[in-house]
Amino acid sequence: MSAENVEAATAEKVRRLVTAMAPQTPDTLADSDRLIEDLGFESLRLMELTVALERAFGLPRYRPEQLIGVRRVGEVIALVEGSLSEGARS
Amino acid sequence: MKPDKDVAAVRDWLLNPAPGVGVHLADEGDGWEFREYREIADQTWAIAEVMRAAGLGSGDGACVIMPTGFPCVAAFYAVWACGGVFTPVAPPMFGDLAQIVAHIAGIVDQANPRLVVTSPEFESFVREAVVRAGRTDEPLVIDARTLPPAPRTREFGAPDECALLQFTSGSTGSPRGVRVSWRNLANNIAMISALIDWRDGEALVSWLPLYHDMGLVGAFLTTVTNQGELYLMRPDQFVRDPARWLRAMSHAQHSPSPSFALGYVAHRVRPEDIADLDLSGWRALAVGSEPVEVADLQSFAELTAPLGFSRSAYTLAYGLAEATLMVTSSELGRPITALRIDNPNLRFGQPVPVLAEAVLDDGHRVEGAGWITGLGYSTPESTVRVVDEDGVELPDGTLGELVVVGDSVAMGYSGAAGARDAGSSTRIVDGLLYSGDAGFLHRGEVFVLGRMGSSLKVRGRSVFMEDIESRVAQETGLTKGKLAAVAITEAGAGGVALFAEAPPGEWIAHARKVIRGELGPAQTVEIVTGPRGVIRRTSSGKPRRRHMWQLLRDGALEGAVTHRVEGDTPTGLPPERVRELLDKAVAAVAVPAGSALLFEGSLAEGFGNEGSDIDFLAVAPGEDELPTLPTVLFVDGRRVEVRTRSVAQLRRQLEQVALAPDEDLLNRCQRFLRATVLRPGTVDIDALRALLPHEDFAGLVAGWWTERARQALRYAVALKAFGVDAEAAEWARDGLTQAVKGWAARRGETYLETKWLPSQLDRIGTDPIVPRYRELADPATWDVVLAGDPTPAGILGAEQARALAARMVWDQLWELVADLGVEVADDPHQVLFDRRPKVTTWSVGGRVHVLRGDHDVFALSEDAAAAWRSVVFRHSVRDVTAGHPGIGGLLAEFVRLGFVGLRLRGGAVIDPALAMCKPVRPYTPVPAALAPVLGLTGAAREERDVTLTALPADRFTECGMALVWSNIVLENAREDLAGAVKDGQGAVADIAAHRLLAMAVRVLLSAFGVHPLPADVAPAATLARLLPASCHEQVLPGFEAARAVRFSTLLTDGGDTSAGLAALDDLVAVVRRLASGSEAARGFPASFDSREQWQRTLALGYDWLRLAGYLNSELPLDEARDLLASGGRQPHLCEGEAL
Repeated sequence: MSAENVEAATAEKVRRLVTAMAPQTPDTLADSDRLIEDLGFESLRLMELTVALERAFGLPRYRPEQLIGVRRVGEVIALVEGSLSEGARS
Repeated sequence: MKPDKDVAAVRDWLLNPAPGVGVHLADEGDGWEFREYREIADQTWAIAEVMRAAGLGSGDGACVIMPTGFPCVAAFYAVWACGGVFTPVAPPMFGDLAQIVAHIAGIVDQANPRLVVTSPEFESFVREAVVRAGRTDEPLVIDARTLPPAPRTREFGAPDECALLQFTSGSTGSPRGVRVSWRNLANNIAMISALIDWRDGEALVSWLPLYHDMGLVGAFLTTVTNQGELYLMRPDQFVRDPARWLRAMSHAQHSPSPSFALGYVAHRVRPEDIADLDLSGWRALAVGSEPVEVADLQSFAELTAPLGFSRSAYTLAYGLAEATLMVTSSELGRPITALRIDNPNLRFGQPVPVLAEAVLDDGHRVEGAGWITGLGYSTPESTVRVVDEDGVELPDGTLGELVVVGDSVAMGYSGAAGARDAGSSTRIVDGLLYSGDAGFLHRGEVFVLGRMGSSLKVRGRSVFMEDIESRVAQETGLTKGKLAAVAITEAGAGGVALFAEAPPGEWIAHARKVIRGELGPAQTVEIVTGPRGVIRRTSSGKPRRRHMWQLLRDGALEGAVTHRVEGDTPTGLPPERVRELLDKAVAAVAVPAGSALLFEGSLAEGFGNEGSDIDFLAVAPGEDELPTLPTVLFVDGRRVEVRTRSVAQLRRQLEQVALAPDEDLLNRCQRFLRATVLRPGTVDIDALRALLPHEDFAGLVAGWWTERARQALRYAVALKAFGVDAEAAEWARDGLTQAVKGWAARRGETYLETKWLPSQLDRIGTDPIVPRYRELADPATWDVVLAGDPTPAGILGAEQARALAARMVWDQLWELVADLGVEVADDPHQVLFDRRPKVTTWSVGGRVHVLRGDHDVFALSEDAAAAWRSVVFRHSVRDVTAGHPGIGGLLAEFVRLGFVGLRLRGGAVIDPALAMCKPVRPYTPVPAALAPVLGLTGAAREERDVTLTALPADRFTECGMALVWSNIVLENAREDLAGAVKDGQGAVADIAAHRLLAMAVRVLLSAFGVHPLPADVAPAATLARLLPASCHEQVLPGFEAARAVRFSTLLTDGGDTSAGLAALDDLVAVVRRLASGSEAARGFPASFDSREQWQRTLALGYDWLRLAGYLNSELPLDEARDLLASGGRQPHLCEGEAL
């Protein structure tokens, strides 16, 4: 798989996870959807989402500071992609 | 101020840390990092040096915003070492960074601290927040790696009275800082330590955030003050692995937890994950920070009981930041009190309806919803009172606002937040903490129902209704002024109702989503739409949240439409769901072959909600007489009704409804005509419907409603003329609703029941009639009509203005009625009094009685009798009320009781009915609970205008007759007795005395309503058996005394006959006094003493006889019949002989 394809696959997997865990399932999920306002996540569910992402992608545990300002689905994708490439470098 | 024992209790450990113990901080793996208090104290003093160097002096404020960790812990105490006032600020996580910055800036602005302290990780956005708060200083960044070494000299700064400025999670726009003193802290920590029975060498585990009152005071400060072992996790670490908390508890004795977390643990943690743990050393689990859910307690105990956890470790607490933390808590080792509350009947200021009471412990649990738990008792240090809206203390068992008094009540709020106290639900006034929490005491124990309308606790966090309104406005584009959110706090059922002065639309789903995001999944969300005015406001424009919710629940919020469920638009259920339900229903019901299957009723018409029944109609081919009763099923949690009708039955209904429409028939036909055909079967539904085209049917419905409207409105005209304004207004409003139903029917909206009228009007769309109706249908519009008379002195102007406003409301109603095509004039001269059949009037000894239906006997007061005489049949209501001012209220009561009817001038009898009700019938008041029930002058009366006698008319008359007659015979016996004694005829005297006693018994029993009478034997025993015990003492001794008199013996032995006569006379006097009841003054005429007395006796007897004759009652003697026949005259008296 090319790097682009890997990224696309990661993004799709994140979207599927977010959709599966969202308290309010959207008809079609957009990267601009806001986790709290549009998808109904509250703090506890967001933490559960974090754990689900860590497990799905084999990531180290996130510290709360790393999650500050993560607001939209697109930012979740960026967070996971960032962590994956960091893991690949180290 | 000088350091005192309270200051010392909280911070002196920094000079003398306990050796070998300290804080265990959960690391990023699964382990713990341990630091002794000695090391923490060293770091604290190092940071204190840095803070002092940055200018923090005694009494200065410091906001600390750092990630949970040892530097954060040390920084907290460093502020106190300097004598500063400490404000913890929550570290952020997910979410909109701009909003996070704004929130921090809001706190910094409010707290106005000398220093803002943070760590390298947070530096950038904290700097942004400081700038945004309008400050030019730099935040103080504490980097643990570059701290100077701990100083040798360690001196505390002089403390301020205030130790902690604790920000409650107040609404976003206005954070509120609670000023907590050293004294508050020391007192509350001591209370908590005593509650959980803290012992030296013990440990506490907490995963609660350090910036929140429960995590800060209840866990962190309490453990550090006691120099105990503290195991500290972050909330995210708890969510990541809830079992980690339990594993830590296997070597600790104490922990706090919000209720929801217990349920969460029971849901997340599998028994096998923790099977090796020993939790038998767990001595206290303090549950607080939100309503305690019984289900959470039970499920957690079920998970952990096999590991040795006992429910006796539960202590259920009530607390809030304004009381430092803890207010009361249930005692360790004692069973928990659980009450089941009848939520729908909860009323502020009223007794709390308790359905059941139970205890919870290792051997007892409860099932079902609606349970709430007791949160302990007031103590001298911390006392809870319950007050009403005026601050007046309410008795035990009454719902009100909780007020806290004691040493833990904070000093107040900081800065501008203090000035806003008056409008806030939580406020501190003169040392009294008005909590804003609704609750009550039950045998002294505190029970909390939750916030009063303006905020809601969700998983330990307050959600403010003001914020909900802002968010919804922002997301939907509606103006905030047209929105009002209400926090619903019922035992076991919390949520939000959002009221919107806006037509329903797509925004509803959007708003629901926004609210869900704020609340999480466990809460209910109701959206209520309505016309302008549906949001009730105080004079200062604030929404009256709780009041609106109460009105909605009582069904008194006119025009309000509730949209409960996701996707619950007026289009109702999706068709595939309906077919699915139909399939399941038909599988369970025997439907004749070939039947057509129809979906009918409110949901089929596009109304209804989650709670509406789903109604199916099976139309069977042929002529069968199928049962009317529907089969009721419960399919997928919905109530489903299946009704069957044959084609012949339906045809008959459609034909009949045109000839004699009534409510049931109209409803049946309407549902059939507007039903959706789901399966055609072999029946020609179209042919059936062609029998009565919907357009024709709409005309029938319109005509039917309009006629009913006329009746109700005419009745309202009469009631208004009688001056009974509240009743008149309600009838008029109801009549208007019926008129609008007729109007709507002419526009095709034929659904018969009134409950979906708001939706029907929505569908009709923009017609000027609709807003006019909505305004007049709102009870608030009528407040001016019903307002009590203002005090008369000097404000005649105000009264005139009120009268004018009231007049305008009435005029608007009649104008709208006319525009709806209902021709009723607001003219009481058009309404006449009308005789009602079988209502007759009888005077007995001057007392007026009305006999209704030849069965019910009413006695009128003097005033009521005068008013009754004023009623002239066929005279108009206007003329009668004008001729006799002040009797309107009585006339209205005569109409209600059915003494007199009403008729339209030159028209028919007025027969009013409220919408969806049968025509009103004469009502029957509570019968008088009087004994004796009657006297010589008729029925005993209560202190009221009209008294209904407990006896039916025939027995009443028969008792009256017997009363008169036995009195006459008694008098006769007395005269015989006197004569016999005088002439020395002993045996004759004894017979007469016996007769006298027998008659005295008859008098008494008749007055008490006994008829037929028992045999004249054993007078004392008979009376003891039949009369109420309360009379025994009054009469029985007299009977015994009279029975003992033997005139034959007295005469033979030369005894005192006059004493014997006196004994009988005394008895007669007692009997007559008792039998005459309250009319003792008038007494019984001593009938043989004079002509005049005899005439009175006859007149009374004749009054009774006439009534008895009318009712064809049994008469006591043949002579009575003669008296009746002679018209009350003595048959042998010469004409002209004056009596």
